[in-house]
Amino acid sequence: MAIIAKPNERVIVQGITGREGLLRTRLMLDYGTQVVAGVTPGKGGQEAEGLPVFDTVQETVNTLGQIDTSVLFIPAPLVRNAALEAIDAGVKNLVIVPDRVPVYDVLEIDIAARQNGATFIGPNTLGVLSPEKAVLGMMGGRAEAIREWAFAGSVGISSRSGGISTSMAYYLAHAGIGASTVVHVGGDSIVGTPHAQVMKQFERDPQTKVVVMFGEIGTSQEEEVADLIEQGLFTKPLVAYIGGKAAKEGTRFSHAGAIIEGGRGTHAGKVARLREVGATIAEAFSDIPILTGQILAGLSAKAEGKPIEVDKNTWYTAVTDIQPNAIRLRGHKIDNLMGEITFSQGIFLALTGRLPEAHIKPLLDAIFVSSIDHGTTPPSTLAARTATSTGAPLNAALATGLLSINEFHGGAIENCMQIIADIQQQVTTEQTLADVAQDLVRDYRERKQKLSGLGHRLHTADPRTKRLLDLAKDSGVAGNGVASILALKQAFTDVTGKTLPINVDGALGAILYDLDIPAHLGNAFFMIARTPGLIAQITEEREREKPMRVIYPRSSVYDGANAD
Amino acid sequence: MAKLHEYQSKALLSQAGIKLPKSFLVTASEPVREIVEELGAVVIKAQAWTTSRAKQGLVQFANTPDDAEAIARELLGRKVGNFVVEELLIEEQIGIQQEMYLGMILDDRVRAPVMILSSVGGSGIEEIAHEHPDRIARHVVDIQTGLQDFQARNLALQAGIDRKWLNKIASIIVKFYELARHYDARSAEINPLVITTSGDLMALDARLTVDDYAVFRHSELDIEMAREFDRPPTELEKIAWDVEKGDYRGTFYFIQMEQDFKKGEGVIGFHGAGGGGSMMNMDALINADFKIANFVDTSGNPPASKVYRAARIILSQEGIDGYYAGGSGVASQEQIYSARGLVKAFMDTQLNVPAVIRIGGNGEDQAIDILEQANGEFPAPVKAYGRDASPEFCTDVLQDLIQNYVPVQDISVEEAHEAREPYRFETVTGGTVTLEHAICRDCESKICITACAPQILSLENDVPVLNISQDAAKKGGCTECLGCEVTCYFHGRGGGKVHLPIEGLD
Repeated sequence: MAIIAKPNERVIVQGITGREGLLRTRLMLDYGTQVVAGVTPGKGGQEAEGLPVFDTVQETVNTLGQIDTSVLFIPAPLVRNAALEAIDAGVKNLVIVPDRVPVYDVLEIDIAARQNGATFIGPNTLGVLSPEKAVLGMMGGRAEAIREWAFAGSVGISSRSGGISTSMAYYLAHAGIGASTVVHVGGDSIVGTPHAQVMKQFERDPQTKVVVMFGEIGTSQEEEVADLIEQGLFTKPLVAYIGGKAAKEGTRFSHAGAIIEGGRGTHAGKVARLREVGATIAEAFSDIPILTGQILAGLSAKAEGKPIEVDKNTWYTAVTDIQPNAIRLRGHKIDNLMGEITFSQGIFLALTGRLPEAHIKPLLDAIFVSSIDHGTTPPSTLAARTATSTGAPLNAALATGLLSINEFHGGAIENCMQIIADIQQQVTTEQTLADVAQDLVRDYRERKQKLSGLGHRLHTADPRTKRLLDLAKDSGVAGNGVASILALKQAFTDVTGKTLPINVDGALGAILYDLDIPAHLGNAFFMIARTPGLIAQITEEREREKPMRVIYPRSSVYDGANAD
Repeated sequence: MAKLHEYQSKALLSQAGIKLPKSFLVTASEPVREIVEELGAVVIKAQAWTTSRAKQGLVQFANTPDDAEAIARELLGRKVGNFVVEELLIEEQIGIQQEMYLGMILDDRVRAPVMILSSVGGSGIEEIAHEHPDRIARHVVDIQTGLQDFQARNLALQAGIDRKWLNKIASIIVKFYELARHYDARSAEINPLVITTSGDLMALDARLTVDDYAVFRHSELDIEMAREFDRPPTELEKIAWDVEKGDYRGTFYFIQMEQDFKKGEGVIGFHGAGGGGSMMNMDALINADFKIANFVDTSGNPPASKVYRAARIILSQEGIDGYYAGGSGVASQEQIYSARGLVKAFMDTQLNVPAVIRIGGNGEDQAIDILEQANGEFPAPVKAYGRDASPEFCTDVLQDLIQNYVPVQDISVEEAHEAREPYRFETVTGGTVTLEHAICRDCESKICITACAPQILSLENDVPVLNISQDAAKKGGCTECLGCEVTCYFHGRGGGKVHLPIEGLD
């Protein structure tokens, strides 16, 4: 369906031989509108854009039969005559594009239209667009341009600004939301089809599920929409934006307006009235796609999982919202985050959706710094260097390194988090943390399994562990996770008589547990931390070593600087 | 809307046969003494576009010539908002029995004129209307049949007018509607309409606003500019109006918002496209602490020539620190013509302030290319962006450019060379296209042929000539797309030149 601009209706262009008439006839034909003829008095018998030109509208109807719509590209002083001519010839739908049509002429056209059961859009309108169906007027300018920024969908758009009508369709499309019909009602104070009339048509249109309205100060159009909603004549969800908030109240020259309007026409009045009847008000222009998307999502949920027919490709994401001029990471404006939070806070936000408080900044940074690199021996480093040695480019070498981070390398963090989770599950009022930890150590020893989190092949007092646990305590993050790893270390001594240090994986696992990070993300923290180290190793391999060498990881000798 | 002064409105009422107090218009205080000697006690009324003149002291009573002269001296030259009082209406004082209000407005809800009559009137009518709704009556006029006497009588009865005045008032109401309709008034009022102590019906004050779009029908009203102002138009606004008034292709709107500013004060020449889009861009500039020298809107698919003239007028404001052009971001109009117009203006004036152009919309990639390639042709930098660049971003860029730009002293604009083998034709707005065939002959690209939007140029003996008559070109066959100058300059040999005069600016 869609409204006003429909694919199978027969259209003529009055003023087809003029500059605008020709150009927009091409636009309409290219977009699939069924333009059948043009009218220019005095040019009957000619052709324009391959269409016959007639001298009068009546002649056109006599020759071609009933015409549904006439689009007028006529100099403003001549519009009245041309519109009355079309109405008289039985055309029921007019699109009056020109600007500067005298207002009394509009009133006369309006009376004639009403008497003949016709309606008109404009004057001073870009026209009407039903994406993928038809366009009337000059909306979009060129067919290929429209195809770039508009696609069919379930949102109706009604706007008092021409530029905003197309922008709105574009920004909605950008957010994955298609439009049923885009109507520019016209920029003048008195138009043939004001917002309320458009709403009535959207109400009847099955394709339209939600309507977006761009209102402006002045006139009663938005208040009339509120009246319609209140009377139950418009029932679909409405997202409204009222422009002109900042506009200064002009010096009022006449009292009659104030007497008639009685406070209508103001920004505050319109917003209050629309809110009162339950419309959704967008405070910022960039909020429109977000609010519209939310309403559509709500509607499709309501439809019990049945996807909305027209939006069958819709899917949802909660990571980042990209709108024109607004990027939100997990709901936070990226430009507000920039310069405010550290990279590690940003990573945490991206992974979890939670913005970490400022006081845990040092701890988060420490988590990543602690694991940046660990020399030439870790398998991921060896793999990355070996790949580099074969001539692999950076991305391939880095991927090789990352692909080597698995259950037995780096995976200790996840294992450790899992162990802590298990311990915490078993702790009850009868069974203390120490008991549970001891049972666990015994169990692992019986199964001859290595206990993640304790012991290191090299370090007996890993410098990273103490620092991490200190920071966790200082920041108040240390909780059950840290307590568990400490209990595990103690239990190991109690059970075996031997002492194993908490390794960096154990410390990280405990802290991530206390930060409510799910276990399956533990490795992500390690991979993100290790990426710079891997790149450093890869780069050094490329710069200092010969290709295709045999790498003995333990034979490297450090010859770099000592900062302290 | 084109506002008429009280004395202008009253002249129309008088022609329509509505009675008025005796009055004289003065522009100096000298004649006042003589007028008072003739009229006796007078009211002195400043002619200014404002309401509540009485409260502002713009209407004063004087009983002696001395008083009247002093008041006139005090009122003349007084500033009311942006308006300087230059005319005073000196009227005889009238004894009042009853004050009433008569108004007409076009109401967008009923899409018709609505007559309003109140049996109470005078200053503070809005409050009175609020307090005495029963004393106010309205009537929606059928514009096909007009207002009938019986309808006016019903209106008067509803408003509670004393029956003995009924026929007289009805006759005034009908005359007043016909006057408003005749002059395409968007609103009109007589306040107060009074019953004098001597038993006459008289209009003591009146105002009419004429529909801007219908001013062309009323040359007799001598309206200088069909534009809404709260002050008389400036010289530059008059120049801009001359560009706009006869050219129905697209819209060009120009209002000066700041005057008497200097370089370094952060005042920007603003060039918007479309009302809604312009607001978005101006908000961004204002939020970044810029001031806006002028509001300009070129939209509705204006020809390149209109955009060019608009840009020239904006750039003629000497104190601006930057130039910002921007619309909604997804314009339906052909942006390449706007780009050509801007580039020509920048080249002709040797642009000496940084410019940021937010030109998103139809053909934006080409438009951006046209603008960016012009860098280096004049001292200042130009940056152009498409639909995905926000007004805030563009404002930031402009701020950066301004901070880093040192204006060049002594701009020299190159004089045009005498053409050796000129081929000329005129355009619809009084412009002249000159194709220098001596240059065109050696041009390999002949790019003008394809760059010409209306396709009115063809090659003849290897040089471009019109394929329509000179007369047809002048009547609008040449759309002033500027392809034969701007595109030729960058992709041909520069043989095309379009001279577009701007009356009052050149």
